[in-house]
Amino acid sequence: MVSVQELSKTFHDPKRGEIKAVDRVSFEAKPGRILGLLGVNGAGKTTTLRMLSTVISPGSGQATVGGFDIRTQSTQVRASIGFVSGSTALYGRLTGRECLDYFGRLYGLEGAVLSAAIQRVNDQLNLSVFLNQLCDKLSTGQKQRVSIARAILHDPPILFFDEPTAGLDVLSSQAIMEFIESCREQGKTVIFSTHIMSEVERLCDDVVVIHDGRVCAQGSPAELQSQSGTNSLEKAFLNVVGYQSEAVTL
Amino acid sequence: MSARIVFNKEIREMLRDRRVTVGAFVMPILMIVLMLQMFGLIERGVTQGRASKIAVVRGGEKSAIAEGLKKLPGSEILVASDVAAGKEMLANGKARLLLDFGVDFNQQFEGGKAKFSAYYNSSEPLSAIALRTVQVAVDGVNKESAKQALRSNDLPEAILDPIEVAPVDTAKPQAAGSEMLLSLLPYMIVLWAFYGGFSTVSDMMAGEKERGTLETLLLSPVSRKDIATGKLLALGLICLLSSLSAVVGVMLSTLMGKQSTMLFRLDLTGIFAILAMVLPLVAMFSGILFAVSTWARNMREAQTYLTSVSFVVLIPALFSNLIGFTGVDKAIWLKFVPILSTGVGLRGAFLGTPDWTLILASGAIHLALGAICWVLIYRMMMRDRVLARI
Repeated sequence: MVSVQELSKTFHDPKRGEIKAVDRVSFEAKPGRILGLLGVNGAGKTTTLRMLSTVISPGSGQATVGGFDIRTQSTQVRASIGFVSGSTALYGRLTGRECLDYFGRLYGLEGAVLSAAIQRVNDQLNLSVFLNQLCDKLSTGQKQRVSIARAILHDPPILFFDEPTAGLDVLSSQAIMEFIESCREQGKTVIFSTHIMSEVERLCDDVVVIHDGRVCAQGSPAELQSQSGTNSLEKAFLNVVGYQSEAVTL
Repeated sequence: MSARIVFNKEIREMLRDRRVTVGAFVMPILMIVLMLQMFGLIERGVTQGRASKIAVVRGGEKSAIAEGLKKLPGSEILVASDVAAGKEMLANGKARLLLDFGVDFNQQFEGGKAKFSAYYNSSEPLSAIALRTVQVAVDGVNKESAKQALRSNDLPEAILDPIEVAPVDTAKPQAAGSEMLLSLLPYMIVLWAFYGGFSTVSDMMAGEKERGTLETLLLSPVSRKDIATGKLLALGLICLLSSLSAVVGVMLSTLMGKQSTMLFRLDLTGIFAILAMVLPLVAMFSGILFAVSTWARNMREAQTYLTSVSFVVLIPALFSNLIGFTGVDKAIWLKFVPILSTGVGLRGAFLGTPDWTLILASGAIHLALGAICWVLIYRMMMRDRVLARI
């Protein structure tokens, strides 16, 4: 369970002054469901996820992740989440197995437990063919699979996916979508950030539309469509973010 | 515990990075070996008299001076047909000095006052050395001539040398014959303590920011303090090993020369004194390097900052190499000058006369500066603006 209330974050840019990246965002993500954070680039999706994962501190507002407060229980929050982003961010001079071993140890796994965890993710994501190769030598799709393996190695109840299919081919994207669906089946809480409508339509049970750092709409995909009186999620999204009116004024 | 995990991973990654193995270990060893072999060649050239190839215009080879020169070890007398041919020999390097005694030199000498010309090139060190060799020979002949005159007048020869200097070398056995090494080695140890870490540090934080791996690390339940500590200790170890590689280079060079040097005669006190100076220096250098890498947005920016910082290290290190000529090497203020004090202190340790006050003061200064850097790093690690700025 992830509960977010009035969460805000302001950055100070020497040239542009204060930038409200996230402005009083509130939503709730529940176990066994996938919540989609839908928004254009720069809408505030990644900043929201970075605050929820305690990588950056929130400016104001509150949030709990797995029942832990992101301000006061950051270590417990990080131990309860797995984070997958579009950037695979692996250590090129380590093999996939060494990367998993390293992060497993950082998550407190050791000995037989760690070996079993690596075996589990290996079976789950079919890594065995390239697990002992240096990460620098892997294809983007293979790197993304190792990256996912790293995120789920400690079997977290909550998973954040931040545009995980960015730069991937159709087959790799398909595999990741299937994996996210399997997380829902396992009863995990999933927050999935994207700007690709088809992915939202396929995966998300709930959708939060973010634009200019603010929540514009939220509900199920069907609810969003009916609220905006359109017959597709894409049209509903464009309607919600006010794209049409801007186009007319142009 | 978590810091140890980070430390182990950093070391493993660094040892797989060719830039680190070459930059921190191979280069110091290779450079020292090459430099010492090169200096050895020069030293042998001078001491074995290769410099003293002296040309004499035909007829002068039988003069008293030429006979005296022949008796000096290492000097070689060549005969030139005339002055022009002798100058040609000077120009093409076959001789370093040309002596022209003229036709009546011996007659003048027997008359009590003689003069001859010595052509040399002041811009060539070997030519100047050859001139000094001739002056030694002339002094010898003059002295012998004076002695004969004294003897013939029944006067004691001691009149010639009423005062005699009795030099007593107070250098410890460790230092004997190691002047070149003593000026070079402390400089190299200080320099590689910095440049060893230079080869990898931009990758450690700025590089991780750029590749996004830092964020995955921050997502783990490990504290930021542990992340910084593990990385800092790994960097410190690389700096230390790189610095000690300079010593390995000297040892290798010595083995190649089949001669023993002071390094093999260092006692436990000397080794302790060296480590007591190098460890705080490494703590400071790793702190500075890591702080710069943490502050920088990306590797390129880190390398730009680090290049500027390297001059701050290079200048006092270089000055420590030459401080023996300034007369301030015993000054109290020197004990508190970062980097410079280590260079001077290391020289003392190698000489077998470690200055414990200097070692203590220098260590305290470096540890204090290192601690300031470490505090800065820990503060930066807590700031979103630093870690998230890419």
